[in-house]
Amino acid sequence: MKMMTAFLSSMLFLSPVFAHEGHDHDAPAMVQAPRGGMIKSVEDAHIEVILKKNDLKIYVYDKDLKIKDPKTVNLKAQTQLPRAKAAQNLPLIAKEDRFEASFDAKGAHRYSLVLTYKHEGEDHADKLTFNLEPKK
Amino acid sequence: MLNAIIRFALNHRLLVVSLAAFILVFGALTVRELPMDVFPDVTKPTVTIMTESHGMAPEEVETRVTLPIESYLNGLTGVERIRSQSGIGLSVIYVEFAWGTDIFRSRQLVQEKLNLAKERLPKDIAPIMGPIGSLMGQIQQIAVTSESGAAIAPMELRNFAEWILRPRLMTIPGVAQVISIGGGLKQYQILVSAEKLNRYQLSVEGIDHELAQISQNTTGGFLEKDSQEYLVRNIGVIESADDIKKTFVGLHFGKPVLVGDIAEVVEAPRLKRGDGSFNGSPAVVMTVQKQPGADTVEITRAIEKAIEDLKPSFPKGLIVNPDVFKQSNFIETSIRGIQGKLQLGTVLVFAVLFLFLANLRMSVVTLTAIPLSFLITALIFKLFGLGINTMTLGGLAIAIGELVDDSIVDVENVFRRLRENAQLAEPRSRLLVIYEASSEVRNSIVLATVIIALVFLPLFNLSGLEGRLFAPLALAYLTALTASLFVSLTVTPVLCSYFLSEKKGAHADTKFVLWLKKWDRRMLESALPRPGLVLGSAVGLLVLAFALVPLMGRDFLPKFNEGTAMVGVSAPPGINLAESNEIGARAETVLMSIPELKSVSRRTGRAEMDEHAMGVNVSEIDIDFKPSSRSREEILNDVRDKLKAEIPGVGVNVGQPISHLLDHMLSGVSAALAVKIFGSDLQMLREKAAELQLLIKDVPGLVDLRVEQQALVPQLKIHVLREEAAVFGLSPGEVTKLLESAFNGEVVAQVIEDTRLYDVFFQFDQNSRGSLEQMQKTVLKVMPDGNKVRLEQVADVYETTGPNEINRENGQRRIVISANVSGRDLGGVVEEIQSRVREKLPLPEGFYVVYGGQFESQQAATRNILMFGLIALLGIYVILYGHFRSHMIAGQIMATIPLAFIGGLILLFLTDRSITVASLIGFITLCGVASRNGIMMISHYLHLIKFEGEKFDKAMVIRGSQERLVPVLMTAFVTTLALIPLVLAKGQPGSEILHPVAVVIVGGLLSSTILDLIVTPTLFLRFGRQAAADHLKPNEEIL
Repeated sequence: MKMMTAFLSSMLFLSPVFAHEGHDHDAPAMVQAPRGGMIKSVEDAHIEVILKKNDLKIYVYDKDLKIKDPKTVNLKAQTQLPRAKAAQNLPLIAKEDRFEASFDAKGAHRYSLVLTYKHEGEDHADKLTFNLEPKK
Repeated sequence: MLNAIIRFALNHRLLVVSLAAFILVFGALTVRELPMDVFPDVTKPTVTIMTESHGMAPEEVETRVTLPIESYLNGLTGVERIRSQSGIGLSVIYVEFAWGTDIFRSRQLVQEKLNLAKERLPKDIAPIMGPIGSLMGQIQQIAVTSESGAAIAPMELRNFAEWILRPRLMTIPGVAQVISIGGGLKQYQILVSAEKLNRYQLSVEGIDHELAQISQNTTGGFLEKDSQEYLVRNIGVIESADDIKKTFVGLHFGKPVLVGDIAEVVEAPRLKRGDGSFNGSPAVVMTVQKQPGADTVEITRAIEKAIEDLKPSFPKGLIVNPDVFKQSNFIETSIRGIQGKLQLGTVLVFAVLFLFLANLRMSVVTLTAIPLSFLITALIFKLFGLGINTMTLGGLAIAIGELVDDSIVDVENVFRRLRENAQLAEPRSRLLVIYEASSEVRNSIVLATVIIALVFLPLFNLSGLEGRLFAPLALAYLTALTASLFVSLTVTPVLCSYFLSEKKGAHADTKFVLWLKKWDRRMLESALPRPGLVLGSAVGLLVLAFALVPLMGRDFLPKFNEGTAMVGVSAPPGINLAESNEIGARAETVLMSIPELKSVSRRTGRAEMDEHAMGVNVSEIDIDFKPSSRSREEILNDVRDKLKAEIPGVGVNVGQPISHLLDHMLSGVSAALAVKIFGSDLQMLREKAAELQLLIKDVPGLVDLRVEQQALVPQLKIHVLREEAAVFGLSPGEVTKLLESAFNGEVVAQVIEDTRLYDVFFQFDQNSRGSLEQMQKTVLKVMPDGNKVRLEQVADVYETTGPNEINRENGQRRIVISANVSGRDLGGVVEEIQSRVREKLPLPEGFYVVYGGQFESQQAATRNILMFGLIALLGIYVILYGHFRSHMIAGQIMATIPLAFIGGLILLFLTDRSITVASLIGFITLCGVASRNGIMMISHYLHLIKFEGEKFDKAMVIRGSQERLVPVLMTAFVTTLALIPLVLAKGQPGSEILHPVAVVIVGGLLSSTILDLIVTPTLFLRFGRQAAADHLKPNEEIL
């Protein structure tokens, strides 16, 4: 019991943000991407990713598909090439209505973009993985 | 020649009467045999090419199938547009040819190109042409369901539909195709367990090879024995699931492995890409398509009889409902409606004749022209293979008034001359008097008829849908009019000779006519001295009428009232069939809560064999209505609002089946308005479409706004890593081929049960391909040392997205933003959209916007009609000048045309407030009809001066006007009253297109007749003196 309590306490206090992929994030969304990109959903937001060669545009919407101001959104990104052991951080630039980034996949047929979205006023965050194909 | 015809008729009266009687009887019999349809055939010659591409992704379908075929089709003679849709495993290409192109020749040309294109397509992929279709080809929907509690399995329902009902319906003459959706197509499935494959150390490659030979018969030639020869047959074909289980597929440590050891063999429905339901219960929905030119009503009757005949052999609890959607209902309602209006019109015409003539015999003789002209028209239609539809009947309805007009003029003149003859001391021969009286008026009759014919001729030059619709109307009108001219020259004089009395004082003006003449005289007395005031007032009215034009909307065609409606419900692409079915079922529940709805049938996704390539996310729901006090517009708005409120997140498009098909034909989109963005980059197309949608969504009057559902849908990609695959001696092609067999499956044989043929399908079972992890573990090959090569070792397996479909038009990728318009005119909405797009939608290089739909057709049709209208006016002028040899007289007669426009515009403003192609046709008709009054009036003034010793003065003008008052008023009243039933039939089935035509003609005739009685005499008295003098001079140039 003590072990259990200690484990739960450590989970609660030691990790400031509890990121997980427990929801059905990767299922086909019942929403149509407003800009025709890849869209995934978390409890209170939809995130749409548009890739054009090396350039990434990331839009964050509320439940009613209205754009959220990027300055009010806590979003982090990592990329990982297939069969690579470690992911690398990707800096995001907040623009007027979206985030932008650039990533060179160095000829790989795809890479994973892992976005960590921290919910407003809560401590927990969701992780969303987008498999992107820069050659398409 | 015309005199000779009259003379011949009077000399052979018995022959003429007998011929007329023969025409009445034979014509009446012929009418019953004429094929019946709602509209003339308005199908644009189109060849549809469908290519099934075995589960390929849309990108692959586009590049490997659609593009090669398109590249061969480009530049084909007569092609106007090529549209294509590359979806999951299916390429559909629509090759549209110019109107009037021979469809059989076009198909031959396309087939030649397809033969060439095949060489560039992937192996085993063969494009096929869809059957020759007709826009109005989908004539009936039949639902096959089970009684509540009977619980017949969906597969059994489909079995019945596919193997019993469909073959029976396909034998009915005129049926081109029967397409079923829903239930489940039975299949024998070999579901291989990957785990068992591993256990027996078998590879997919080996299984694939063995199963390809699972069912084969071959021949062994002949065996000769005892003077006889025996056909030798080698039987290896499978006949049951047990046979399949006992088939050898490999060896494991020297022991044979059978199918049953590694797989489950089941009877199950084939993978569905579509489903159906009726009134909320699962159903097989069968769509019957007819052959072009076949009689819809007759086929529908035959279908119902066939179903009735089969009824005793139905499985217990199975219900076949043939009344889900029947185009014949619309046809019968429309045709009945127009026929009723024709009958009512005829009765009203008779009432007017009797009111003016007060003579039963004269009225009957005059009225004979109507049935005779109609039946001659029917005989000519039969001769040229034409049929009855709302447009040809409309032509007759518009012509009713004109038909009796020729006879009125003739009968009236004959009667007057007979009466004068009777007053002579020595009356001349009765037949001679009739001959001279008929000859006397024939010039004006022929002239008026030629002018009316002239204004209708341009309608035959109209291209596009409007040409297809209105040419038959013009043809019916002109045929009937020509027939009536012929009747007035032959039958009418003969009937006059039999029936008209020549007693002295037998005829005098009725009290009603005397009263009219009194008022006419008073008006003329006060108007003739004030030409400035009269002409000024007329011009003022004309300006006022034209000022109404900007206040009216502009539409292509009036809205139809088809009796049924079609609701499109589009869920976001990417959802599976089960989810889409769920949404469709919810939509059905919402619809059935609307009290006016009688039945609801739904088709979700695409049926096998259907060229209508819809994704599984789309449902089409056909609804039928009960009689209701609410208007159809109100109910449809209710449908739209409720669906949007109850099922958020889906696109809703409410329309009517035939209207949708017409829209689809015009723009390739099932909506009235299509904004198309062209460009090469799919992502940019989707982004720009989204921007455009936001930009225009609040345009007033715009409803059902939606972006074509081109979106990214989930894909699981298995990317073969070449270097890793090579290590195990596998090429990428081998790997992908093996994976296709394992995951997509393939048909390896057929099982024959009686005469039914069922596929044997091989695929990995759900446990072996149900998850990404299981797929990664799939064994592709067993190496000689016993090591297994798994998929994850040679490929990267990952989830991503790809386009659900790629649409192209004329060689360019495009996306469509479509909408309907409600409560506002189409032209106004389009102008506002164009202005917003111009100002606020920046487009990248190479991208551009094209507007299409009814709007496009409306602009083209308006341009054409105006141009042809001007040519017709010029033609009228030339004919009038040719006859009167005076610019002034020709000009004065043509001055009646703007007078007619006054009433046409005012009545159109008061009733429809929209200018459509139909109302423009009404204005063209008016040009001819209105000129007729002017001709009658001015010819008579000239006649009085020339033959009756009158001088050119006010008294002559008043006398001439009074004498022409009755024929002019009768003509106007007869035509007006004949069209009144159509004027009052706004929105009634079958009268939608004819109503605006009738409104314009009636309004125009009222104003032109009333004003004509004042303006024409005033104009003639003020400006006609010199012209009349010139006209009466002998023409010295004629030799």
